[in-house]
Amino acid sequence: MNCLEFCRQQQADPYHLSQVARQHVADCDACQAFAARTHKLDEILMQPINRVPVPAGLNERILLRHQLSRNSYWLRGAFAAGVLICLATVLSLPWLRYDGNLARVALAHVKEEPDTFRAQQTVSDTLLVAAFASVGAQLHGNIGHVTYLGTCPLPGGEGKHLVVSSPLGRYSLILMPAQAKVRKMSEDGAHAAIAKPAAHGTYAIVASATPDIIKIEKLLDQNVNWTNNQ
Amino acid sequence: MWPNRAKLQFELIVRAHSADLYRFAYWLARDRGVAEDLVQECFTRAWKHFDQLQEGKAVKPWLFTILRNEHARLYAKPRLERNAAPLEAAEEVADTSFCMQTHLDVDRALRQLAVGYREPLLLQLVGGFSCAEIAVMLSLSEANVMTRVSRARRVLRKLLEPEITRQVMTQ
Repeated sequence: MNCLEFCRQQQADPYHLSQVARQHVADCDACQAFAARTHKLDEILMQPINRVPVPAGLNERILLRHQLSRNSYWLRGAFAAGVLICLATVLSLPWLRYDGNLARVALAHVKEEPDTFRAQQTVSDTLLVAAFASVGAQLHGNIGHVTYLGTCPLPGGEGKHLVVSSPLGRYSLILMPAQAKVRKMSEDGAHAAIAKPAAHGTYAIVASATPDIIKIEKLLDQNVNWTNNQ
Repeated sequence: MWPNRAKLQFELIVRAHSADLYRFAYWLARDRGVAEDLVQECFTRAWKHFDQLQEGKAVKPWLFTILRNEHARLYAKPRLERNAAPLEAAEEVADTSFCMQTHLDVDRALRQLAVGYREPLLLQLVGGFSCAEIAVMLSLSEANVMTRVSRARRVLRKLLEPEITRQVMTQ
């Protein structure tokens, strides 16, 4: 190795000199001086570099952030679970709220709309079939003369409100999206209501007296297939 | 790796290397806030890819490479290199017995070096890496790194020649 090669190596990688370079510098005064100046340069450079104070608590902040990011997975999971629980609660509210009271809801709804009894609409068979189909039911017989058919906000969304004149008397039929699980009955003295599950919702009969309503229920069950929309 | 063991190992790595990484980041960016952000981000990424350590990687060059890449990303955004006042750098010197003028001279000299030269030199001075290791970290050839480091030293030597002479003479 000559001095030029040594200087090149010394200047590029002074702390990882080859064996040949180390032998050369041991025997060469000029290269020893060069190496000394290179080391002095690095020493001067290293003084301010190493004296830059590391911010107090840097390690703790790094570890804290790391800990928080680890915890954030749990927090995110907890948040997601919370949202799911809220969503499930909200979605199940109609059931919690109406499952035992759909007959009462229908009764209250009919009493809120007394004008429907005076209506004399001409309701086409198509609209009637569609109304029953909205709860997955199929009309296949005579349930009486429909004098009113309207759309109303009811538990579970929009439902159908029918007023029917029949030989058994006038009655209201409420078809609503909310699903009843079992037959329920409600009375307020003057009126009675029965709510029963249909294929995709609930149908509720509202009539003036209990004996009549039982007969109307039978009439409807004979002429409507409530559980099959085929 | 068991989570607790990994956590402990990570903590040891943070405590062992954060100071060097901070100094490297500081002299790259010359901004305390940016330097700390770089170190934080470096360790965040390190943890995300902690499994790579299981593949036999050496921790120190791996961390310096991550930090260096983070710094490069700052430029890619683009974000110009911050020009912190030399006085600010001088104020950071904890040991007041150290010659302030030398610090300012070094700061000025390093500032004059392009990042392409400053980076490998700092890796050598702060990290203690060889040119071969730096070549791997910067995805350059070893010869290229040797050239860059040599040129950096040549420039710095010229700029700091009076100080070198003074210190050699006083020895």
